[in-house]
Amino acid sequence: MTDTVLSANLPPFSFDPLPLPARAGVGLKASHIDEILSRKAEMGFFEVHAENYMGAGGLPHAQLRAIRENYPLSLHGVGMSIGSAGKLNSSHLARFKRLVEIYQPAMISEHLAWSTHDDVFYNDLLPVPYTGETLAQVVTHIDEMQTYIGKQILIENPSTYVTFEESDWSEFDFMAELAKRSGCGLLFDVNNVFVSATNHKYSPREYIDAYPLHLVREIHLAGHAEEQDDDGDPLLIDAHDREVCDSVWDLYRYTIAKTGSLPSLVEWDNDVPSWEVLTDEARKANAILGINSSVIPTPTSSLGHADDRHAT
Amino acid sequence: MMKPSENLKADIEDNAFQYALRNETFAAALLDPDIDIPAGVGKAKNNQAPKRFSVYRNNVVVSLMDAMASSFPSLLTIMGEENFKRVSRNFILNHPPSSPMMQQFGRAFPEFLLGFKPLAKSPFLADVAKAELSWINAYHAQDAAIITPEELQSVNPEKVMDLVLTPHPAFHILTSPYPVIDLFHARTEWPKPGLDIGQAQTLVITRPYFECFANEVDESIGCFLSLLASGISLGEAISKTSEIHADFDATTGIASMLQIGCFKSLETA
Repeated sequence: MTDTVLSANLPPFSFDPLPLPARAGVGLKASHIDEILSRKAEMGFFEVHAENYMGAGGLPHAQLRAIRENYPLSLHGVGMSIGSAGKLNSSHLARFKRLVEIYQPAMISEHLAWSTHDDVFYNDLLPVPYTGETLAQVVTHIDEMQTYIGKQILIENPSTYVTFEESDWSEFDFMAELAKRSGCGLLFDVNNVFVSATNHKYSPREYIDAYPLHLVREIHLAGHAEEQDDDGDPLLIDAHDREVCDSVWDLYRYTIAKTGSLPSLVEWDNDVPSWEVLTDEARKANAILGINSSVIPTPTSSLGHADDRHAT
Repeated sequence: MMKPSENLKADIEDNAFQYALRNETFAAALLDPDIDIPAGVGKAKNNQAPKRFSVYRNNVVVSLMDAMASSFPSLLTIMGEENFKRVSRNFILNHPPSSPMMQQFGRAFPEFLLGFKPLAKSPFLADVAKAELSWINAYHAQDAAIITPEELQSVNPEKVMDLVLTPHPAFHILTSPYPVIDLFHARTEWPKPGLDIGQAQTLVITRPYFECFANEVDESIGCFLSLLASGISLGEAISKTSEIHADFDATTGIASMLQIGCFKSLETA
């Protein structure tokens, strides 16, 4: 069986730079791609999980190329394990760098989390204690990744379900310090703020007030599940499987009032809805950004397709 | 881009030992519910609230089981959801992934199925798993042009039998003592009326452009394609196949090979 690893043989693409606009984008899902391309759907930008495009070729790359030709792109890693105690995976770094070279994304981001330990990949974003030791380790990894790919990356604040007794930094100070030391930017996930604040009983607004918002270059929005812990207290799970809730929209409004408009991504990765439902979410974000997306003219090709559908 | 400060370098030399221990105990408890939740992890001091750590345990196992279900839809249909979950959970706990590229996860699944005692009476399942893995590999394989009839015709007739063809990156062949093609198609059609589990089938997976195909070929053509793919010349592959299969027709074999797109264009090979 041959290895399906991102090859150096993809044709050299030449793309316009297309920076992320300060408006809503959505996570790219395979089930929407035909509709997006055939209707030339109106969307501020798309974000993809880097790990989904690390095969050597085939349809995923053909589709991503078509998307990148028409829309700004953000590349979001979910498997670098920046927060790991061990070394970064050099093969994974090489694959990631190759993707950056091929698709020239406008933004590149990863998580404050770990997912690999001792050669096992756990396929989840696992929590990092906030200590001087872990800070040094995370900064080393961010620096290694930025130096290797030759670009600044953004680091996303996590959703967490537990705390560590050894943590002696607040999360917002930890984020500020890792950005200061490594030179990275920040991806501010408003849903993660709400999830963690609820789970650990602190005020999300006070967290936002204390956060180094001047370093934020992109925002994430998503839906979460609601459960209860052993004491009957709310335990929110970052599920990415439903609409963004009202409390998170409120916090988003609160954040944007402080930061000004920023590229804002709606993530919906599980129980993926129809394109219409997803674009409704993007429209809500645009409304908060002061953009009325419904007045943007629909490309004529899209009307043609809609008519065709009615005719048949 | 700012470099880590000298202070930071000093920090690292102090190493991440405590943190490595923390990762170690956390990781161990993720895949084994019999291992205690690590000390100092939970809701508050002296309150672990185990449901909280369980979110991570659940995320890990469920996301990996979902990945297995999406990679092996035919096996899931054949085995039924409950059975598949039980088997895939067992597989995950014994063979967790090592790479963040989930498309590579499950490579050890055919071998695991063969050695899994409760399934000892269903050895055909391992071949279905192999077919499904080949399908994923074909889907992600490097793009390459296939050899066309025109290209082959343009070769000097005196030299055509000396041609050594390069398998297309998406080409996979699986000769099975079981009806591996009917079983592979369980993802779209199941149950299969008149399925004969003793019927041998040869599956050839190709991806001439972006769409994958599961082709059925007869045994002699399967033999011919395997020999060609092993790197011997067209002439040798024809004569060796004819020795093994008296009924082999070279014209049909070459036509099949071209039609289903098994080999790379001579220009790029």
